[in-house]
Amino acid sequence: MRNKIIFTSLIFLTNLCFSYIDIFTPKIIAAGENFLTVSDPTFFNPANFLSQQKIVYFMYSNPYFTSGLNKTSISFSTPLEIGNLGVTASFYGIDVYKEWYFFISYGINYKNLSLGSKIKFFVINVDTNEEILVSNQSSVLGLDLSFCYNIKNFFVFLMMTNINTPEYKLIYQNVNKIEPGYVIGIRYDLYKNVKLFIEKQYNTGVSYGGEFLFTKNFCFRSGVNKYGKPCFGFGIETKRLDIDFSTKIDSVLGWDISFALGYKF
Amino acid sequence: MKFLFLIILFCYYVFSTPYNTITIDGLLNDWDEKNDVMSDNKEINDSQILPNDIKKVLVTWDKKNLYIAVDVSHNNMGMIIYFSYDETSGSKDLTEIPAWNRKVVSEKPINLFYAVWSGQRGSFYKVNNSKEVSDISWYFTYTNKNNNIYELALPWNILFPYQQTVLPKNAKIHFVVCLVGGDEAGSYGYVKGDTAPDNIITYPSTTTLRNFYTIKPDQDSDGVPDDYHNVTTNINIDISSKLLVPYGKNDRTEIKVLTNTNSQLVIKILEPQTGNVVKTVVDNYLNANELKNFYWDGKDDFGKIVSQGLYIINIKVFDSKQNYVKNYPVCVIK
Repeated sequence: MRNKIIFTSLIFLTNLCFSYIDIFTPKIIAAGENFLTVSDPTFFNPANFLSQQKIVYFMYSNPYFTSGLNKTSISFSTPLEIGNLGVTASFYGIDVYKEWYFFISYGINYKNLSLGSKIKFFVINVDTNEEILVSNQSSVLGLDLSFCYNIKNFFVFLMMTNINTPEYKLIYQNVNKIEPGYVIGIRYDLYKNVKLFIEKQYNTGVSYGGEFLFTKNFCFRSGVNKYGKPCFGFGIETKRLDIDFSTKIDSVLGWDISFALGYKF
Repeated sequence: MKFLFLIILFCYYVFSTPYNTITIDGLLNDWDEKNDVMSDNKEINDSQILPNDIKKVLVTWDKKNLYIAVDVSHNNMGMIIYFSYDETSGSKDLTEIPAWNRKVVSEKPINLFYAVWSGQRGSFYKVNNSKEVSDISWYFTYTNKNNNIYELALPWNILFPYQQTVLPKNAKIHFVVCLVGGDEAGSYGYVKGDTAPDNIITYPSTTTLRNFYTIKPDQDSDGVPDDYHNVTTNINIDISSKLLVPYGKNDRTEIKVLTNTNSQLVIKILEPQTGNVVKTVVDNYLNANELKNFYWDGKDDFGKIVSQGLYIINIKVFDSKQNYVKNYPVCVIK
């Protein structure tokens, strides 16, 4: 118990988080990319996933069927005696350029308040012989913090990402900064089987969406992301399995399809 | 037995209907945009005597006929379409022909021409030599609707008689549309105002025709007009490098595109997360079998080098029948 408290404190103290490309799961994408308000096994918002079961969750996407471009992640999350812990490894890139993300997330709930923190380790690997490259590999650490307050059917979320403004350098002439982000969101449980989401991120548009649970095992999700792109998808949940599918539509690039498979034990 | 015969007859009728067939009715609703050979917008409203202008030229064919449609404004003027399809006959010098002499000299021998005065039906003339033409209008089906839409059907067996095949293998047909004035001095006049495709008009003097539309109805060399609607668009795309280092040696990504059909080509660079178009590399017409080279240097439409990260090269090749979209990744390192 003492160790767990120390571990939790460490996460909050480290305060290093980091997110460069958002690797959302189909659950989030289908509901309008509302990553703050949609509960997700990869712990994208660590204050918003308080699972009662251990789950391994795998997702894959070939964004817009772009030749050679892959986006994938695998997560494991488990309930602890106090709070929930999640570990995620993600990949985004092509054969000559790879971005790796490793997250450790922790969320804890006390009465109406939930708190979460996520340490992120980001690695870029470039396969080139360019002389101006500092190194073929660069890495950086960051941290996200998130909060949730529940009043009746309303859940109000706040998340701060990349608070430390992580920097990395690939070539001598330039330093790349990952700017911090601030997101606020509200989830409203209209009925027992209908959830509505709305989010606003600093200097971007508003995203909104909904999740409609048709039966105990099947739900439909739909929304519009912060760039105005329509998204939809569905989820099938059984005692052991989670299957999720999502589509995001871009007028020029076409359809971005993602799917995920989760196993609970 | 009779029933079987009727079925065979019916099947023959249905399945022998020529492809791309046009009804000669003066309406353009059975043509599609792919048939438009005046793809360059610069040719529209380029006449020196507006509003008289050649607005649209359409070409297609089936197994029996070559079809041409022209949308033209010509008030109190004539229009002549000169055809060249046989190097061994006709004449390059039409300055002394007895009918519709508009003091024309051509770089290709003119074998046939269709001439019409505004408000009339017009006639087809075969050019026998530089001083002799024959009116052969009865071989052709053609119409003039509202004095501005002309539809002509030219039978292959009239253009290419005495062939063992429908048309000579690899046949090429060149033609040019000219607005012409009336007789000014005696029995001749001049080309006036506009031609399609564009030629240098030296009114009031002899005009030399150098630019022609060229159609190749038998690209597979089987002596039968191709059904180009069945041609599948083959697109070859070559991206030189997926890594672009604006300050390094590899400071541009070359994009090579080759297609086997005339198409519209659009290449855009997009940021995949937002879907924002950071740069439009090209939005232009692409000729069949013409290798085109483009490049992206990592800069946006405002000349600023974009942020580090992955981008998508969105290549769209399309015509009225097909639409081909392909996305390629490219990474900017900075």
